[in-house]
Amino acid sequence: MKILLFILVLLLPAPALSQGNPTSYIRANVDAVVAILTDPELAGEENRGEQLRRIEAMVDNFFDAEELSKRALGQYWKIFTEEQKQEFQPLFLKLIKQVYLKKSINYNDEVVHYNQEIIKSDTLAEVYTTVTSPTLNVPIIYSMIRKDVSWKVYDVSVENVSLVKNYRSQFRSILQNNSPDHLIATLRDKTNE
Amino acid sequence: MSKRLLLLCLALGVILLQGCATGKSASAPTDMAADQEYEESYDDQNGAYPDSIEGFNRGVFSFNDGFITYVFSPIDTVYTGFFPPDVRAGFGNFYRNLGYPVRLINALLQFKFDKVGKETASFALNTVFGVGGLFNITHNMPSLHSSPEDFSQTLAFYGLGSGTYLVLPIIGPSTLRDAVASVADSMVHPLSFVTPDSAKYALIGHDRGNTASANLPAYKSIKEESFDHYTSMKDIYFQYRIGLEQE
Repeated sequence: MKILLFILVLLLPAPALSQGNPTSYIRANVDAVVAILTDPELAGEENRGEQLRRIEAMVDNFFDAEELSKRALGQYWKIFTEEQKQEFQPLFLKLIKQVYLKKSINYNDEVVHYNQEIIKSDTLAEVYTTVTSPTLNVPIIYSMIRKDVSWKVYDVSVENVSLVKNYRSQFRSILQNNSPDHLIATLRDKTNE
Repeated sequence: MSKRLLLLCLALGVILLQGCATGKSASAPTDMAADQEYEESYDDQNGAYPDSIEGFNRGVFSFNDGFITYVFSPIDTVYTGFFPPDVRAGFGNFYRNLGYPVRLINALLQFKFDKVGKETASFALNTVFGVGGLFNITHNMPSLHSSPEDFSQTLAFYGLGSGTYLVLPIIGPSTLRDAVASVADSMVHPLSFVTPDSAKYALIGHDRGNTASANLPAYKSIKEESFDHYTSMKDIYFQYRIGLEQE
């Protein structure tokens, strides 16, 4: 009987034993960003730069650059050379971080509710949240992937609109008439603005 | 006793099977699941959204963008300067509450009885305790939240496709089905029964303007963050509408 129990423990689903689940990952990150935004020492316009730097460092590992890029390029991922892929990924990650930062800097006492977590497989999950402000409730879904120990975000959907899908539509319309290098150059301009 | 043993065996069997199933997928290359979803995620709308009059749409779109930048934005600056955020939110609450019959009828037509209940309860509470709908007191009651139903979603429910993307002057992004259906919705909207006509159009205009004012910051940030503003807006419109249809 003891042996049977021992075998049962071994057969328990691996995610149950591994550290951190998707929701706690998002929660820790959101809490950390909110802590920076509400830090009285960093209040005021003159500390805006420092505030942004700290948040940027915080969200550095929040996203999975390769997965973001793969999904945003869709079928065009395959026509990118290895070099172009290496060039594209950090630029696109930078863009997504900028978009995310701009959204968080507008923080205005919103409260984040964690509604549901859907584990789609060992490596894929979705975390459903609602951001509540005094006047609005905005549903936000984080799509997550786990390649090693930690979960990372590869898409964010606001009101059912996926950020990555939106960029995919735009990249498709650009790549229909232009080369990958042209897109990379455009992306570089955009992120240096 | 033997019955208990049987139950225990069954339970163990189920756990074992689950363990095996998860064990199996865990041993598969981690990339497989990702690859599969990534294949799916770009196949789903490979053909992009229907836009058979893109030339016309792009023309109207750039007209609208000019209108928003040079006509609406300056007016909005005066409007938002005059009415504080709370008052504008109050207007929004009032008009949303007033649109209850439209949402009710369309929820009924799609047999979404849970939504009928939620909408009716929200309407009653906000009308009675929210001073005729000026205060959205059900805002903090998640169990009463539901996505709004309209006639276009009803038509989708009965199998009608969206038709081509359509950018309407001033009104903005739409589809053939959405445009036709919104006319039907407006006929049962309480504002359409207001007399005289001048008051009716003033109220409808205020409703639209107030909503547009609330959406202006989002519009500006979409424009700023996009590479192809037209394509980005079209994609957002379709994703949002398809999301509503599925809820």
